Amino acid sequence: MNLKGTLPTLILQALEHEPDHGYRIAQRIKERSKGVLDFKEGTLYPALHKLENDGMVESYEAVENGRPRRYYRITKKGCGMLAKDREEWRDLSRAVTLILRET
Amino acid sequence: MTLESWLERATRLLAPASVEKVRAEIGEHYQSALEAELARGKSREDAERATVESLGNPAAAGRGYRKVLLTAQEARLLEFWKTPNPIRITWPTAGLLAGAIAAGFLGVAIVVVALAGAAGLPMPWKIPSFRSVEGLAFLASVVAVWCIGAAVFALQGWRRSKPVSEQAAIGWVFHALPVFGAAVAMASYVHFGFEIVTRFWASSALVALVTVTASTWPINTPKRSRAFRLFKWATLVAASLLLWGLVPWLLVTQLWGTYMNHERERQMLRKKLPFSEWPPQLCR
Repeated sequence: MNLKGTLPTLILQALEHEPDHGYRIAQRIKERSKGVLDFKEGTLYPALHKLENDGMVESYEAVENGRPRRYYRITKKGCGMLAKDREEWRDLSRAVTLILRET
Repeated sequence: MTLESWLERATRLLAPASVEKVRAEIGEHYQSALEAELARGKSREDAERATVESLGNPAAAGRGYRKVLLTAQEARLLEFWKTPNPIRITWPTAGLLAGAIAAGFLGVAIVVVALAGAAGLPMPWKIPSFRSVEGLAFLASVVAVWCIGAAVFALQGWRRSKPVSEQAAIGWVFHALPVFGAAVAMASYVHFGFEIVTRFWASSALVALVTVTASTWPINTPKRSRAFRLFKWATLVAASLLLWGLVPWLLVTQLWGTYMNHERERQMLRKKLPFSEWPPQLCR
């Protein structure tokens, strides 16, 4: 399914409860959507950098299984944006559902 | 496709520091994904192929990266800005530089105006004959602005080489420039009316005000950078209106050219760099 425009919101959602690294963020999005939202993983990192430049997430280095990894964590600004995006998505989804029921 | 060829294509045109960042994060990602594929029982060759495929089109990733990480060209520009007096400006260099810039702008302007004249588009002023006094005054004005531009380039280079306490004292020259431009514009108005020579000087005075004089004002600080940029663009629009009148196609061409040439790259850099890392050039 085409993820265009929704990837930043999905990333923020994946980071809502705990910080994580890029690979696990990608897997989490795929797993939670039961494989429906399948995206090319190379596009994840530009989206993460954009969120970082906009102050929605911040990154830090940590070691996992003896390997250094870059972890991302959501900021206060990112939480605000996620809440706003969630609300907009609910409105949009409700409106589309209403229209599709009519036909 | 191998990981190496994927990385080469995805990092094309990026700055060395950005390339290093991409290589590190994609390398980490690749390693985790490869381990997962191997754990599913795939052969090493199949696992490597599947892992690279899961990264997607490297050209698309590269386009994404170039929007958020520094490109090689942007990194060079930042380096140039950070180097004090980077081209060691002397009078001849300054003259050539100002001349090349002026010739470029003037060349484009002449071609655009000539094409527009041939196409019968509306013009804001009558083009004077170069045998008339007004025509000669216009040519002399272009040469004068060129010389003043060269002198300002050289003076700015020399000023930056002085201690900060002395730099302020030299600032009066920059304040005199727009006043001089406005005075010549008024004199021209008395002689020729609101025609090309007057418009040219009035417009040049405003451009000098925003590019040279305003940089010494207290509004030119990082905290007030948004206000400064607003002032800069309002003044540039006013300068364009003075030069081209209310002729929409000329105004749009001029302002679009100025934006693409001067502002676009700065705007990209403002998005990519945190505010604390902005050099002074990004604040204005």
